[in-house]
Amino acid sequence: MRNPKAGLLVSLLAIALLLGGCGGRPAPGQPVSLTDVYRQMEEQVGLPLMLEVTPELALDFYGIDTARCAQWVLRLAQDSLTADEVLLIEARDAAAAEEIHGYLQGRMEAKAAEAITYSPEQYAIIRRGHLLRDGLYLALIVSPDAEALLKVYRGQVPG
Amino acid sequence: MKRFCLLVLVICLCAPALAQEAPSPRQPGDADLASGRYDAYFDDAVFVGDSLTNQIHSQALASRRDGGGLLGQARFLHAHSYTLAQAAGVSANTRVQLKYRGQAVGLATGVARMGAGKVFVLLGHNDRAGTFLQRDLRNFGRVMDQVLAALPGVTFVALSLTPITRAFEEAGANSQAHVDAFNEGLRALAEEKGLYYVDVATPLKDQDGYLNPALTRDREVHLTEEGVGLVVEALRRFAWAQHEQGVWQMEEHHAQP
Repeated sequence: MRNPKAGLLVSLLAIALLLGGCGGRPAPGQPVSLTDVYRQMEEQVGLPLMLEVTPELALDFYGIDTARCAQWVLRLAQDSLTADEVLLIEARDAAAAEEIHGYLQGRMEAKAAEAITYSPEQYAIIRRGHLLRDGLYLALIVSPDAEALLKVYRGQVPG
Repeated sequence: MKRFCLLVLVICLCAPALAQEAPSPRQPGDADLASGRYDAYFDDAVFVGDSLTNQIHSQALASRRDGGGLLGQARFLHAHSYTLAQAAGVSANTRVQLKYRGQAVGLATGVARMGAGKVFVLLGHNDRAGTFLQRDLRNFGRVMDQVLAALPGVTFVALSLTPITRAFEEAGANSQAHVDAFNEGLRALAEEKGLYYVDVATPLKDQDGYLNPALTRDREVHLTEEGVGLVVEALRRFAWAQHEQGVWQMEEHHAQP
């Protein structure tokens, strides 16, 4: 005998999965170029003048060894008094993703701690920022337009 | 009396010519400094500080991106809101910390791990430096001692604290008189310890001794691009002097005109 409650649950689960899939996130395993993702962020949302973080600086400043990344796009606002920062990384493996996630977490916390006394406005922007991890893909997005940037990211990066 | 008048007249006539003379050989030319040929001096330097140092860092990164070599290969260690008290290790506030390779570090530990050959320190605004002058100088002295203990033989350079605007003073943040007193004390402290002191503050001041409003981007302490450029120029003058005095030898490829 069929349980009507179980049937309802299955139906709700199916609807939820269907709706989740409607967000437009590419399926896992699909290739993605983080350089293209960043370019789309620039084109669709716009970013202030940003500085490229070199591999040497990535290591010194964040602790991120780019040798452990399959690809990366690391950008900081050229105006150091604004909090804008976009870090997009695909780690080489799960262990690297775990380590890099820790560094990004630390970076986000440090940004907030540094801004809290000197700029409530920048602090609020940082608090609305995003720290993401989808498998080997990691991102730190801090911007007044963080939600719009996130939408671009989720439209391109497998989740 | 006639002779005296004649002498005054001759001096007056000669004065413009004297003023237009080429710069003394003991002074660098502006073009020479702007060329960046002395920036190689900073290749093994680490600049430590707060948001002001971050501003210098950003300008150096932008210059490198655009093919320039502002401050050579200098590296930077900074955190917004970082204080002299934290640097000296006498603050209970551990919320803001310097970070090197993802790890929180003290100032001396950080520059030692980075293998600095020269250490430039610009700190004090977040302590309202000069408000408690002896305390602030004691803290700077601790920083000097700690860096020298961690890196024996390092070249330590204390940078004067940059000025504040009149508006910032009126808002009660600090006073320019305190900043000036701090800088005088810092100069004396550096001299007493046989270390360098570089005045990067004077070129930033207006006629009243405050931060020139044209050089600030927030009407407080932070600098415009031009303001950072003046700090860099003062640093280049110091590098030039080190070269002139034979303290630093420029490598052949930098020496080419």
